Amino acid sequence: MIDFLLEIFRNNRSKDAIIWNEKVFSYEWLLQRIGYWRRIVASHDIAPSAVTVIEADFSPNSVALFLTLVEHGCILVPLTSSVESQKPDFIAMAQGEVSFVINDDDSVDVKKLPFSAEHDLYQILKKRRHPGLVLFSSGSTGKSKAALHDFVNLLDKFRVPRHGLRTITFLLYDHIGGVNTLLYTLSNAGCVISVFDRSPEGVFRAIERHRVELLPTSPTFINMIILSEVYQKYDSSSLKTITYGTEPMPESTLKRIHRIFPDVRLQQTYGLSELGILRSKSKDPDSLWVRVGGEGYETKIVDGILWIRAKSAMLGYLNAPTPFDEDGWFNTGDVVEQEGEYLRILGRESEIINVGGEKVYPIEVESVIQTMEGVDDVSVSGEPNPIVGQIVKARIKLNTDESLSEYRKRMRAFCRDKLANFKVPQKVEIVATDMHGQRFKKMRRE
Amino acid sequence: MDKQDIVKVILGSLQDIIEEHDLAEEIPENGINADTFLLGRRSFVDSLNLVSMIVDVEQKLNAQHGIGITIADERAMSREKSPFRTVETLAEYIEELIHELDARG
Repeated sequence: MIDFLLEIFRNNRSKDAIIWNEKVFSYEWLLQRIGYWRRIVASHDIAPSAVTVIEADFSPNSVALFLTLVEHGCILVPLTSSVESQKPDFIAMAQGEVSFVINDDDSVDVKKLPFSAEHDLYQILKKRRHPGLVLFSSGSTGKSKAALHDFVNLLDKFRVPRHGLRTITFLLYDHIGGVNTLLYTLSNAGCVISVFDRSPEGVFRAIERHRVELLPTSPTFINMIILSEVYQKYDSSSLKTITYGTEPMPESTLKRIHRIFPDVRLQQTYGLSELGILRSKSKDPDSLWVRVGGEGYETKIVDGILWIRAKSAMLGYLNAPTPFDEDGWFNTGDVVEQEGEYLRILGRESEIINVGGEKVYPIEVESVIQTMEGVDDVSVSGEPNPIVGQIVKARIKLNTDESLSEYRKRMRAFCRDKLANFKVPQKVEIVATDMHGQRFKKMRRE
Repeated sequence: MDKQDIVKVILGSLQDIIEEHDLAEEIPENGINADTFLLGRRSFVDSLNLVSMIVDVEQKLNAQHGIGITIADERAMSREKSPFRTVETLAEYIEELIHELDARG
């Protein structure tokens, strides 16, 4: 299963594999550690196909253990502290049989769990004798769904050698983006650089310290980079590429980050827990138009909505009916515009605001308002209204002393020449808290 | 709060909307007062402006007078004579809502 990976590790023994807590671990170390974990797994009598829960963030042991369990054929359920309060529910739902808890100092506690892997979908993997991966969606649009993947399908695309880069594992260990970053980096003998502190400060300190070349992140975090001006404080000249995904990118954010880092390649990624991460090519460095797809993916647009069929698609949800149609197509729920072979994502169909028959996409309004002086963050959503159907509501995190009335006047004047009248928020609320979740994705519900 | 106070709040919000949406040219000859139409063909504000104004009135009543009411809801819409017809009818409707709020305690 992971033989091709081990081969790559052996060919790069002395190269940096993992940097954690200011310490460097080579590929030689990683190979040894996998050997160590093989012995532990055997001594605990862990069956292939066992559902193994790993509570961790990226660390030397969490990486080595991850690979060992995949090799052993287990069904991995990674969980980070970002879902701490939901862990008991998730573990029960995934029917976890063995638990590995990796502590802050990288020590590991192993114990048996009281559940049994009886889910129908698990039997498919058992029959195939393939390792599996369970990923919980972020639930930013509803209840968290558990996507079960056949790991063999996920690993497939990493057999194509590409460029190994020094990469920060910003996206989480229990997120499709994080898993993708890990496998991409290791399969190309790059270096996995983990950070304890995922604030702009923490990340840029690591970029400077460890000469990071690739930062995979989200538009929300990029906004934080822009606002904090952290790039003035640290030397980020090693940075070659910033990839962004997990949510739509506001145009103003993209243009601003391109101005700040004109020599850094900005690449949009498109991925879902259900499908894996698709490669995409931007038309221009600061353009939202992308070509999406590549090897193993097909796309089609039906009634303005993007559908995808992927070889690396999940087997199904553990806790919901299959979202695929009978031909294996998946409705992403994203409204897209098309121009030739390029696509532009306008927003989620479910988030469209209908104001007296006119459509408004939250991202478009957010993109304008976030460039206002004093606005730290803005989240736009629809609110039901008996007169016009829905109104546009903006929740603003302000860093000025303005009253609601004062800010609103200023906002309306600011938006007048930038947005059509019906798109300018009819309702404004000033909030004191952050409006993104732990995965740095904008949350529009309250 | 008596009806006059409420009319003042409404007129204040209406004035804000006029400024924010550049409607100064549209104001009727005799200016804005309790008889000004908010709905229908004699109104110089469209439905979107009206909605924004109502939101503003709700937020002002809440912030400045500690009164939490929802003005635009199904109930208001189902009245035979729309409460949104003029500034005065809107003030009367809000007065009614406030009395109910007080009665509920």
